[in-house]
Amino acid sequence: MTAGRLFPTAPPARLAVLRILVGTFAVAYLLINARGFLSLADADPPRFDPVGVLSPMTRPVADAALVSAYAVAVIAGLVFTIGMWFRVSGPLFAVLLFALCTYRSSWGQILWLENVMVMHVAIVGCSRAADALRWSPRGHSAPRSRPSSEAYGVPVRLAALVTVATYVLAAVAKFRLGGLAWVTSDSLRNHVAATAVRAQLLNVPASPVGRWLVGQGWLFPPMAAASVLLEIASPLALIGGRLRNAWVALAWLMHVAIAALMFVVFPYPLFLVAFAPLYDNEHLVTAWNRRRNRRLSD
Amino acid sequence: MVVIPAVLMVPALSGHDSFPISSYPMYAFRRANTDRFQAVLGEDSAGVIRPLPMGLVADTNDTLIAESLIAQAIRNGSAMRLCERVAAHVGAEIDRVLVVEEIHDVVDRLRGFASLQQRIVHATCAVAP
Repeated sequence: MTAGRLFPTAPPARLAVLRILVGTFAVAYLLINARGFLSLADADPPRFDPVGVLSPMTRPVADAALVSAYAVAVIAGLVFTIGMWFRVSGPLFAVLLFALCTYRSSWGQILWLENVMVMHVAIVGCSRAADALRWSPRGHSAPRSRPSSEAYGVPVRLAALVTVATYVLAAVAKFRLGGLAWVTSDSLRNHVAATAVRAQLLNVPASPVGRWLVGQGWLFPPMAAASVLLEIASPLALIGGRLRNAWVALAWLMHVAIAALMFVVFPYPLFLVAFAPLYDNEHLVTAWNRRRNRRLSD
Repeated sequence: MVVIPAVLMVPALSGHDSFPISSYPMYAFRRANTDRFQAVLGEDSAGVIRPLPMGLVADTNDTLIAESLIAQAIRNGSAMRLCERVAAHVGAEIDRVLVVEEIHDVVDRLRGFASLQQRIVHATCAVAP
């Protein structure tokens, strides 16, 4: 990979659009999962099993601290998303989201679906992501236009590397834990079946598609091979162009298939936000501005 | 720029799973068609045993979180406390609550065949009338 690919320059709007996308998603995620975060205040203390940076903790935080952190995180996330006071709101939201999600994973079940979101918010929050498309109470969004710079390109590239790395890691885990047999055996079928049985034993709906497909065992080894190949191929998305588009489309379809077969939803890639750093998203702003100007001139 | 992706890739070698640096082990291991599950069941007056709604067991809509809560209760010896907490909230049609581990043939179960191979009852408690 050339230095230009590793340390690309980009206009400030590219990073700013990424800020708006990941910020909007993360705030919506916090609000939709409010019960999941706040109910930890009532959780049984013996269940507390801290992970990551919280590992040194010996007991859960006080209820008031949890509720306050959640409330401040939502407010900081909104301010982060619109780009206000970003030198404070950026790192503050990144730290609070990181802490809340780590805390939520500290009760016996790591929630892998939050990893990439947390890392993207951390990267964007600690960068100059509000040098463009910033809302200001005085009514102007960008005090002056700034030239393209590595300061805007590198964080976007780093976020893209994080996305790609997670898929490579998922493929490596399959070979390390399951070996080639993960692809050639009935392993994937059994994972789909076990997910459905778990749902049945917890009296929640299981995927009818998954339940039906378990009867068609021959389908699963090709599906397993395709998913591992797709994960290994994720670095191709960094090249851009049609290769990236094809990979993103297939990766998205894989997540749709996982949701349909197992009712396991990874919202960050399903809403395409995980793949946003792979694109020059400033074009969204250009297209939006062009449409708005046309509407105004009409 | 190189350090962060390098740190992210460390679990590829170590296999260490944490948050947010993870080896992404979910669904990565080789799974047999028989598997062990933790559940909270209810028995009615006719002796029919059926799973109780997840909402009674855990304040979550995530099955992995709910199952991990039951598994933790079994592991750390608080299955009876979980049993009594659930029993306090079930409807009158349930006479008895059971916190169990069950081994099923998952494929057979989805095909409609008998699948239960073993049931280990970790706690039972009567529902107050």
